[in-house]
Amino acid sequence: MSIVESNSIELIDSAIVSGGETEVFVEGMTEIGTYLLVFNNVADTDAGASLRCDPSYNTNFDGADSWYQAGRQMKNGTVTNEAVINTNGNIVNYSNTGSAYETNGYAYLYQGNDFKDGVRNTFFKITSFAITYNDTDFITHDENLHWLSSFFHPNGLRLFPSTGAFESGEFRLYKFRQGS
Amino acid sequence: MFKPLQSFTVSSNSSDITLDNIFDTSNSVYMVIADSLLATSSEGTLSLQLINSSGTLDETAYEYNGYQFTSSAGTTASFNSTDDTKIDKISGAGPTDGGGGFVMYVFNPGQSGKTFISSQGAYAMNNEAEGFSTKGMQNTAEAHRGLKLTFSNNFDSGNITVYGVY
Repeated sequence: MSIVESNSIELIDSAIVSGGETEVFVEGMTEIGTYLLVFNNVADTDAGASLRCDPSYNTNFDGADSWYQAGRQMKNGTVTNEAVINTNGNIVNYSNTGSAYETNGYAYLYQGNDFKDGVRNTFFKITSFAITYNDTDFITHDENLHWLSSFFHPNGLRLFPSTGAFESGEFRLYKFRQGS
Repeated sequence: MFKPLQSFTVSSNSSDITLDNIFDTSNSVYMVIADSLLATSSEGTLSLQLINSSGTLDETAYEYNGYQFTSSAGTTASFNSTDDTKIDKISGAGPTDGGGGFVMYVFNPGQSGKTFISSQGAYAMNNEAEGFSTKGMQNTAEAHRGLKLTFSNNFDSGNITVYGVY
């Protein structure tokens, strides 16, 4: 039987928005395994902007459209977007901004590799859950993302609003330690 | 880190459990995990209400939506409500098959802004699985110190632990 260390969920990085940032990074995903991103009070300057992500390595990010996405967005209880497959890399597809608007949520990230057919493939998958409220609309997201690239090995995420800049927000990246 | 703050045991033949004085300004995010939630006789669903910093149960201004999965029918049913007295269908429980549980995140409850909740739960009964994915909020800008979970039937047993996420 494997033994799990008592400190089994470890905070490895965080980014606290001070206001005005157009991007923040959470990194340190140096090992294969499962990670958790928790975010709260995320708001940005442009109404209708989206919270998005790119894979990053030491703040160098790959903005190529290599994300495949499937999920469901519900707005005021009605499914407004479902089973989308695209390459936007959205964690949240609808995140209005301002002091009355905010987004809260979390995402599990799975980092792995294989050597299928002699080629090192990167597995970088995200399943995320988020809530946005803008004083009018109550919007929720369940999104599943797979980043498809064979040669770039990210150790974190670049998080950014699709337009405008962050006004507030806290992002914390945790790693689930494995048993030994 | 995830710091365990308090654990609670669900009393037999009770229809609700109050988790008071679990939120403050020490953490901006909390996780609540429930396991082994068993019903006394009939299956049912769990609803949630928040307790404000004065100790008063908030019974208005809840917004929520989500969906419920049922294995026997292979269906997914959406649900939602606005300006409700509670957030319904956080999860459920039955009297057999090990009951049910949930993992719930609570965002910003100790702050003076609005409190957001995201939960995933499941239970099984007679070899049928029921799953829930529920998101909601209490649309009042005030701090909260606790929550109340109400079961549509009576509990037999269960364990609930609250963690601070920091």
